[in-house]
Amino acid sequence: MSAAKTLQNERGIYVHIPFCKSKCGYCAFISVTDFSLQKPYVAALVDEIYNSAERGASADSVYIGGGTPSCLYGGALKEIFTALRDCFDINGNAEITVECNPESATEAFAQECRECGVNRISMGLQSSCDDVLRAVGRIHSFDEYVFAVKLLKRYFDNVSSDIILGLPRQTSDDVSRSVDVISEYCDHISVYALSVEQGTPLCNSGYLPDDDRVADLYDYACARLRVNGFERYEVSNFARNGKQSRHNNKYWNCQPYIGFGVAAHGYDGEYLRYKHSDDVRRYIASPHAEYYELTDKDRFNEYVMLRLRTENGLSLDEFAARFGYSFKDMRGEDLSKLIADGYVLDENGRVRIAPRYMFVMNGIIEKLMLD
Amino acid sequence: MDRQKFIRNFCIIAHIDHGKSTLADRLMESTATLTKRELSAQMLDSMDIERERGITIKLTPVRMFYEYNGDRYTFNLIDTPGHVDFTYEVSRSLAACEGAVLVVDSAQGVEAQTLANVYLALDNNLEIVPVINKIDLPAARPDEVKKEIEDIIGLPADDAPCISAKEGINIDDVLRAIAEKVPPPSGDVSKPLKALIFDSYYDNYKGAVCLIRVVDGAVKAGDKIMMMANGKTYDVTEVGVFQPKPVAVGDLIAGDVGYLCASIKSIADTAPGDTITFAENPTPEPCPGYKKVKPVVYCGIYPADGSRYGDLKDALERLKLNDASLFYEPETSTALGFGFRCGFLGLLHMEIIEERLEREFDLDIITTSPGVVYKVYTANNMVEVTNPSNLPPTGEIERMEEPVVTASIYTPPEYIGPIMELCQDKRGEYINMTYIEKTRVLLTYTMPLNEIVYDFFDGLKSRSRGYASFDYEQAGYRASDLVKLDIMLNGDICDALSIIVHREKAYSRGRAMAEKLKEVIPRKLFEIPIQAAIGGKVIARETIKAMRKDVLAKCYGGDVTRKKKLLEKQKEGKKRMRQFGTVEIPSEAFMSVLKLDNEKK
Repeated sequence: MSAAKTLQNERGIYVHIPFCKSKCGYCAFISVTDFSLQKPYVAALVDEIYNSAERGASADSVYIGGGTPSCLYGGALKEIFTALRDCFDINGNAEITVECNPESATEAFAQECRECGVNRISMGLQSSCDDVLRAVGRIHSFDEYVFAVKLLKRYFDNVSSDIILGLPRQTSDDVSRSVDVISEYCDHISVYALSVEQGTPLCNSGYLPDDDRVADLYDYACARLRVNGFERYEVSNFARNGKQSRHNNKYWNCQPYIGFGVAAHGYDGEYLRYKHSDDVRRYIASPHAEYYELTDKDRFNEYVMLRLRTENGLSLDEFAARFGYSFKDMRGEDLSKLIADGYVLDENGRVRIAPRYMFVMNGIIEKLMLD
Repeated sequence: MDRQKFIRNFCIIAHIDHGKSTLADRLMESTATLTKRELSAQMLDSMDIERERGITIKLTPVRMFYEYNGDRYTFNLIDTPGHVDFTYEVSRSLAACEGAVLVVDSAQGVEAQTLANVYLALDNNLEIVPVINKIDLPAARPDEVKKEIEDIIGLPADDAPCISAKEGINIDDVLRAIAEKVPPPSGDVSKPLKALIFDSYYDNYKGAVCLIRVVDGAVKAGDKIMMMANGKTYDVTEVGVFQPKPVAVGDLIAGDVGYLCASIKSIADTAPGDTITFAENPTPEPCPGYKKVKPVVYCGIYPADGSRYGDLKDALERLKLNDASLFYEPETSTALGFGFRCGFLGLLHMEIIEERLEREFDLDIITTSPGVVYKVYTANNMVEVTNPSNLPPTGEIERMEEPVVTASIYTPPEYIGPIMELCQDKRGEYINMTYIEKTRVLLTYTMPLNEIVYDFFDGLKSRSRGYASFDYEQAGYRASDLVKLDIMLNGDICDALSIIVHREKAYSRGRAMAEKLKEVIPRKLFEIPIQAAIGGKVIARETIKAMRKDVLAKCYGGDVTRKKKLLEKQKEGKKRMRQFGTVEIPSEAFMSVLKLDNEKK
C-alpha cells in the first residue's frame, strides 16, 4: 500500500510545443506555423519551468507533445530538458517521450533527443496511403515515414506511432498496411477514430466519416493488432512487450501531472486542475495558468469516464480508497443493471466495459456518472 | 352630435402578405399618430409571433385624427386577422365597423382569404373601399386587378387608390377615400348606454380590459355598468382609446371605439359579443351576440420534461384568458405521461399556441399528430372521438364519420394538373372549376378535414411554387372507412403515435412513419424493430440497427474537463427523451412524424 502511495505521488510532466511546419486538415490542437516565435516561446517556457510552484517535485514521466516538437530549432530541446532537470527530480528510469513527425524526424533530432535522455518517441503516421495523407494536408509520404521510423529505431528501442480511422478516401487495405508496418518497428500504437472538430479545414469541407464504416475499420485494426501480438489497454491504445505508455496511463488513472506551455493542462491528483492560455503570443508575454477547482461530482465523473476507457477498468477497492465511500452506494443500481445486460463486466471487484462494447462506451459510461 | 358625424370606424381586409399591416403603419404615420421613430415596423402586431410571421392574431383598435376639408375626422382602425382560422375574430371586428378597406396586391390579385372576408364584410353591410397595393412592384398590373375586383367581387374599383404602402405612395388617397366613402356611425347619444364587447384581454393592474364599440349613449369613469349576459355590475374606473398605446379619455360616445376598465377580476365576465349597459336605466335590447366557436383540430400537448406538467397547465390557463377559442382538458399517455388534449380552430391556430407556449412560457412541448373530431357509431351509441386512443374496440364500431370541408383553391392555370392530383390523392371530390380570368382558376373540392390537417398546405405550396392560395369552410360529416394505425416500438404500442386514417392511406402512412422514426430515433446498443400495425396486423416494418460507434476518440490530460462536460451534457440530453420501454424517444421524433414530407413518398 505504501509503495503504491509513493508511486502515486510521482508526477508526470507535460510540455506543449505549439509549432508545425503546416497544419493538418483535421487538427484542432494549438499550434502555429510562425517559426519566428520559437525562440521567445522556448524562453518563456524555460522561464515558466524555473518559476513553477511545484519545483522540487519528483517525476517518473515527461512528455514533450505538440504541435511538432521535432520542428524546433536545434538546441531547443536541450534548453527545455536542462530547465526540467534543474527544477524537478526526474527518476533515472522515467519514461521520457518526445513527439515528432516523419518530415522532421532527422538524424540531428534523434541525436539531440538522445543527449537529452529521451527514451521514447511517438511519431504520427495516420495513413499509409499517400493520397489520403495529401488529402488531409500531411506533408510527408508513406516512404518518408518508413525511412524515419528506421532511423529512429537506430537510436531508440521504444517507438510508438498513431493512425487515424475514418479519413477521407481511406480503405481497409490502408489500415492493414499501416498496422503492419507499425508492428514491424513499434511496440506501441494509438488508433484514433477521426473526430471532426469545429473550425478545422476538414470540418469546413463538410466531410463527415460514416460511423459504421469507422467501426468496421476499428474492428479490423483490432483483429490485425491481436495477430501482431498487441493488446489493447485503452480504447485507442495498444502495446506489446510491456510498452504501455506510463505517461498516458497517468491521465486515465487520474494521477497528478504538471503542464507547461501554451494550452497545457495540469492536475494535482485531487481537486485542482489548471490550464494555460490558448494564445501563443499571450503565453510568451505572460505564461500564467488559470486554476479551477473540481467538485466532488466532477472528480467522481472524471474518474469513471477515464478509468472505464482502460481494459483494467475501475477497481472498486481503489475507488473506495480514493473517495472514502463505495462506488456501489452511488451507482450500484445502474451498475448491476449494466452487468446484468452484459455491457459491463465485474471481475472480482474490477469493473470494466465488456470488450465488444468498448467502441460504444459513451452511453454506458454516462449511466455510471452522477447527475 | 357633431363629433359623431366625423367618426369613421373601419377595418382592413387583405390576404396574407398583401400589405395590411404595412398600410396600417402608413396610415398611422400619415395622420401623425406615430412618428417614424416610434414606428417599429408593423406596430399593431404586438406579439412577437405576429410580427415575425407577418400575421395578425388578436384584434387591435387604434384611433387616429385626420384633417380633411377643414374638418377633423376621428378614424378608428380595427385591425383584424386575415387567416381562415380566425374567421370568428374577423366577424367580431366587422361588427364594430361601418367600413372596410380591401387591400389587394397589384401583382397577385384577389386571393382566397380576401374573398371570404369580403363576403363577411358584405354580410355585415360594411362599405368596402378597395385599395390596390404594391404598385411599385415591376409585376404590378393595377388595371387588371381593378377589373378582377369588379368581376369577382362585383365592386366598382375604377377610382380605387393605387398605392405602395411600403414606399408610402398615395397614402393620402386612402385616407381621403375613407373619409368620403365610409359612412359615419348611426347610434343615438341620447339613448341609454349600449356597447358591444368585441374583444378583451387581461391586464395585471387594471383587470379585464374590454374593447368596446359604443352603439348608443355614452360612458365615462364613475358610471355604474352591467354586463347583460350575466347581470353583474361594476363601477367604470377608466375609459380610453388606443393611439396605439392606451390613453384615458373623458368619455366614449355612440360611434366610438375604445376600451373600458371596471376592476373586473375575470376575463370570463367580459365575453366578446356581450353587451354593456347602465345598471340603472339599461338598454332594452342587447347587441346580437356571436356564435360560440367549436374547435375543429385536436392534438395532445405534453411537456418534454414531465416534471413541468404544472407549468404547462398554468401556461394554458394564461393563454385561455385571452383566447376563448382554445380548448384543453387533461389526458394521459403511456408514452408521454401527463398532458392535455387541446382543441384549435385550425392548423395555424394550433401552431401559434404551440409557439406561444414555447416562447412566452419557455416550455419545451411535445405535440401528437393533429386529428379531427370523428363521429363513431356503436350498436346503441354515438361518440365523438378526438384522441385515437379513445376509439372503441374495432368489433364494437358499426360505422364512422369524418368531417369534410369545401375547399376553394385559387391558382394560375399551369398548376391545375398537379393540384388536382394532390386533391385526388387527399381523397378530395371534385366539385367545380371556374376560370376567373385568363391567368387564374378557382378549383372547388369537397375534402376530408383530416387530409387537410396532414400536410395539405405544404403540398399545395410546393406543387404551385407558392402561387396557389387556399381557403376552406366546414361542410358537415360523411361516412368513411377509417382505421386506427398504431406504431409499435420494440413490440410495444406507442399510444402517442397512433392516428386515425382512411384505410386506403394506412399503408403509405404507416410506411412513412416507420421510415421517419428510423431516422430520428437514435441508435441504441441493441436492435429496435419499428412496426406499423392496424388492429394487430403489421403492415410495415423498419429496424434501427444497433449502434456501432459512440466513443471519445482521444482523451488525455488536456481535454479531460471538456470531454467530461460533453458526456454530462449528453446524459442530461437523454433525460429529456421519453423513456418508452427500453427505447428512448427524443421529443423531436414525435414532431417530425407529424411533419412527414409527403413529396418524398
